[in-house]
Amino acid sequence: MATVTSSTSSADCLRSGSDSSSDEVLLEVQDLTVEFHTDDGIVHAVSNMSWDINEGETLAILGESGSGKSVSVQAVMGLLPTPPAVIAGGSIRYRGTELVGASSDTLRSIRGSEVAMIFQDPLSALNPVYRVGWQIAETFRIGKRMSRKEANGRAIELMGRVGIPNPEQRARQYPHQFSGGMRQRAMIAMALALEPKVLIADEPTTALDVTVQAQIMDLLSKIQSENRMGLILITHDLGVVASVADRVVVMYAGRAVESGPADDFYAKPAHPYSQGLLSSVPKISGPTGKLNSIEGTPPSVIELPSGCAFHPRCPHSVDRCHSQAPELTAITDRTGHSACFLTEELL
Amino acid sequence: MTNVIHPPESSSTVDESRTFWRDSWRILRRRWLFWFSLIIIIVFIAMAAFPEAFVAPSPGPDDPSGKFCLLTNDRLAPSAEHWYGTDVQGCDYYAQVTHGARVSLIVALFATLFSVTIGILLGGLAGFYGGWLDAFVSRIADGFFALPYLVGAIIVLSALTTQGSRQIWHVTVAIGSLGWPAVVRLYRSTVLQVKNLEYVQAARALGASDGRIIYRHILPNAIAPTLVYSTIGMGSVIAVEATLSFLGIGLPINSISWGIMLTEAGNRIENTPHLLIFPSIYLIVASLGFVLMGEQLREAFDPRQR
Amino acid sequence: MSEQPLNPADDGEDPGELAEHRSGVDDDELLLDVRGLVKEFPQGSVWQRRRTGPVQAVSGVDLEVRAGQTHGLVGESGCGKSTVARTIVRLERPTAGQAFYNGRDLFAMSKSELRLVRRDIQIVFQDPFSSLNPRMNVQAIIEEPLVIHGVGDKADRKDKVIDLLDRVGLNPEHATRYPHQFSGGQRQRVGIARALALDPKLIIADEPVSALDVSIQAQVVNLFRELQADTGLGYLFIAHDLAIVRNISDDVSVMYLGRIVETGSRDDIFERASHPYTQALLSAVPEPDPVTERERERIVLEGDVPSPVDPPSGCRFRTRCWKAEPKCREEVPELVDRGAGHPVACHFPD
Repeated sequence: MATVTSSTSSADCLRSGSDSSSDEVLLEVQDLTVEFHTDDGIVHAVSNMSWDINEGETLAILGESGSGKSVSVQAVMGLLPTPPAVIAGGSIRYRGTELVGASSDTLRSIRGSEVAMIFQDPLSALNPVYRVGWQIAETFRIGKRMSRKEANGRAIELMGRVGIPNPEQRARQYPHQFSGGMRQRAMIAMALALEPKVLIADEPTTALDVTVQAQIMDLLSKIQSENRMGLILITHDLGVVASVADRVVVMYAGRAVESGPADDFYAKPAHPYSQGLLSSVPKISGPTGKLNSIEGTPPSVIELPSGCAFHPRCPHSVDRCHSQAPELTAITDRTGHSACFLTEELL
Repeated sequence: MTNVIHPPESSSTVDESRTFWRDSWRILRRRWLFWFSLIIIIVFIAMAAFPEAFVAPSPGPDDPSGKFCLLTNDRLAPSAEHWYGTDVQGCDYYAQVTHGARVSLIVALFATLFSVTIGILLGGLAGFYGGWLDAFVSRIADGFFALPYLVGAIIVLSALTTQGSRQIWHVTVAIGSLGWPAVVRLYRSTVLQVKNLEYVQAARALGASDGRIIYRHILPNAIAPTLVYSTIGMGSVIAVEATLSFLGIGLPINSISWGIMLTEAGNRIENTPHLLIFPSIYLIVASLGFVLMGEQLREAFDPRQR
Repeated sequence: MSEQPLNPADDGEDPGELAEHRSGVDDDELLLDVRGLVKEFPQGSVWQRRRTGPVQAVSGVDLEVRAGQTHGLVGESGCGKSTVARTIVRLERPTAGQAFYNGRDLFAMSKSELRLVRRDIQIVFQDPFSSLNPRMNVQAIIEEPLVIHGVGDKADRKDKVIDLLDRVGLNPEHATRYPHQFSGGQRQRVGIARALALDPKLIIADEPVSALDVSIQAQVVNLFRELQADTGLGYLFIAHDLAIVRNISDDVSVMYLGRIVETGSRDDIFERASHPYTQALLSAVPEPDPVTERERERIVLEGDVPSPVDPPSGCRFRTRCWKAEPKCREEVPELVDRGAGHPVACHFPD
C-alpha cells in the first residue's frame, strides 16, 4: 500500500503552499498517463498529469474540448471505457490507498461513497421511469442499508438542503417534471447522500442558463464549505469558477500547461495559452472591439505537434519550442507552475 | 482582402478520403464474418445464375439439365455417384438442389426490391410531409401489420391467381406486398430524424425545392438502416417462400425451388430423410449468408462503432 | 474584393426588380422591420388536438435590423429567440405579424417572391456538426445556394467557392474535404461561407458561436465583425451569452418568455438596464476575475421560467420579480420609453 511520499517529481508542483496546506490530502493523482488505443492510432488523452486535492479545497481543471480535462477524473471514478482506454502509467491515491490496479472491492468502497461525481447533463444521469425521491433514497437504502421509510425521510431532507422547494412534493415527481436547474440539484443531492469527502463536478453548469448557473455554483460552494469536502470542478468556462476556485490546472492537448493559485492565474496568467484563453473571453464591461483570439485550432490528439504542443498557435514560440517539450516548472516568486520555456520572460 | 486567420493545415484532419461509405468499408474489410457471408452470397448467386457450372455436364441429349433422371434410380440414398442421392423421379438430387437456388433467390431479390421501393417511397413522403399524409400511410401500414403473415399471403395469392396457375411473380408480389409496411416504418422514422437536422433546415432556408431536399439531403443520410434491414430481410424472404411452397400455396408444383423440394420431402421423411436434409441445409446457409451480411452492414454503418 | 455579377436570376423572375434591391446599400438603411410577430405551436397530433392550449413561443415581438449594424437578441433557453429567427427566414409559418424587408412583408409573399428574397436573407445555425450535410464535400455545400438559384456555370461557381473560402479564412484545398474532417470552428466557417454565397444583405445568426470553444469563439466573432465591415451586412445576432452580444451588437433586445422586455443601444442595455430581468441576467454573468466576482452582489431569481403553454397574466416576469405588485398581474406592460431613454416593458422600471 503506497503512502503519500514527497518526491521531487512534478506531482509536488501542485501541492499548494496556501492556507489549506495543513489539511489532509484526500486525492492525489501523480504522473497519470492515459492512452486510447483506437483504429486511427494511439490517442494520448492525458500525459504525465498530476494534481491533488485537500480537505475543504476547490480545484478547477480548465480546458477546451479535447484537452483531456475530464480524463483524469474519469480514471479516478473508473469511468474510462476499457478498452480502448489504457492507464499507461502513474498512480491515483485516495488517502494513501492506490486505486490503479486495485481490487474491485477496494474501488467500490471508495467510488460513490468517498468520492462522488456529478455530470453535465443531469437528465441522462437520472432514470426517467423512477421518481426523483425514490432515486435519491435508493442511495441510502443500498449504501447505508437504511429502511425504506428512513431512506425516504433522508432523501426529502437532502432535497431541501440542496434548495429544491417543497421537497416532499417534489420527491414524488419524475425527472422530466424537473427543470434543468432542479435536476442538477437532484443530482447533487444524490452525490451527497453518502457524505463523500471529494465531490467531482464535470461541467456542472454548462447545460444550464446563466441565471441558474450562478445558483448551482453558489450551492456547490456552500455545500463544500459546510462539509469541508474537496471539490473538483472541471470546466471550459473560465468565468463560472473564478469566484470559487482555490487552485486551477489548465490543460492543453492532454497536458497540464499551468497550475497554481486561482487568484494568481486570473490576475496574471503565466503560460501563453492561459494568456490567450483569458484574453479571448469577451467581457460584460470595459472596452469592446475586436477580440483577442488564439490563432488556429487545437491539435489532433493523435498527431500532436513536436516539442511543445502549443507552439503552432503560440505568438511567442522560439526554435526550441519546436523540438523540445517544456516540463511543468515552478514560477519564480510565485507558487504556481508553468510548462513554458519563456515563462519568466513573459511575466 | 480581409485579414482573417488561416487555421493551420491538417491539424484536425485525419486523411483526405474519409467519407461515410469509405469509413464503413474500412470497418467491413477487417471482419472475417463479412467476407464469410459475402462468399456465401456469391456462391449462391453464382449457383442461381449458372447452375450448369455446378453440375457435371449432361451425359446425353435427352438430359440437358444434367439431372440424370432415371426413373429406375428413384429414391437412392447418397452415394459417390449421387452425392445427395436421388429423388422420386430418379433425378440426381445434388443437381436438383443446385437448380433450386435460382427460383428461391429470384423470389427473394424481387420481393425485397418490391417492398423496399414501395416502403421508401411511401415512408419518405409520409416522413417528409407529415400531417394527414403521414397519418394515412401509417394507419394503412398498421393495418397490414395487424394481418397475420400467412393469412395475408393466402389472401393476396388467391386474389392474384383467380385464373390460371400460380407463377413465380405471383409469389414475389405476394411476399413483397406484405413486406413494405415494415420498410415504411423504418424509413419514415429515419426521415423524421434527418429532416429536422440543421443542414436540411439550411437547404430549406436557401429556397431549395422539396425534390432537391429529399434527394440530396434526406435520402443519402437516411438510407443506411433500410439497406441493412432489407439485406437481413432477404434471408427471411427465402424462408418465407419455402414456407408458402411447403404449405402448398406458393410456387407451382412443377417448378424447382427449395420450398417445393421440402414440401415433397415432408411426406416421405421416414424413408428418405436426405430429401429433406439437403435443401434444408441450402436454405439455412443462404438465409444465414444474407442475415450475417445485414448484421455486418448494420455494425459498419453505425457511427457509434467509429 | 471583386464580385463578378454571376448571372442574376435565371428563375423567370423580373431581373429589374432584383437589380433594384441589390443596388445602393445605405448605411443605417432599415433592412428588416419585424412588427408584432406571434408564433404559436399547436400541440397534439392530427388525430387528436390536446385540450391544453398552444405553446406560445413568441407573443408579439418587434425588431429592427439596419444595414451595416448588428441587432443582438438575448435571452435564456426557451424564451423564443430561435423561433424568431426561424420564423423570419420562413422555416416556420408565423401565427401573426409582419416582417418588412425593403418595405415588403416577408410573411405575405408568394413562394416565388420569397425565393427571390431568400438570396438576400441568410441564416447561420448554431450547431456546426449538424448544419452541414455529412455526405457533401465543402465545394458542394458552399455552392448549393448558387445551384439552387441558378447562379453562374460550373466554373463560375468553383471560383466563387474559392473566393468565399478565402473570405472566411479557409484554404482553397479545403473545398474537396468533407465536414467531419474539420474542427467545430472550421465547420462554422464553412456554414458562414454558405450563407455568404449569394451576397446577402442580412444574416440571421442563431447562436452561431455557442457550440464553439472559447478560443475559437473569439475567432468566429471577429470574422463576423470583419465581414460586416467589408460588406455592410446587417446581422440579427441571437445568443444567450451576454458578453458576446455586448461585443458585437449595436442594438440589443432582451427576451423573456416570448416577449421583448427591454430594447435599446448596447450601452442602454449594458450600462443603464432598467428592467428587473435584464438586471438579474447581467448580474448573473460570471466574469473571469475572482476579485470582482467575490465583491459582486448577485440578484438571484427565485423559481423557474413558467411554461409557455400557460404563461402568467400581465407581465410574464412577475412570478419571479422582486418588484411585482398587483398591477403586474392585471396589466401587460407595454414596451415603451418610461424615462430611461429606451423602451422597457415594466411598470416599475429603475
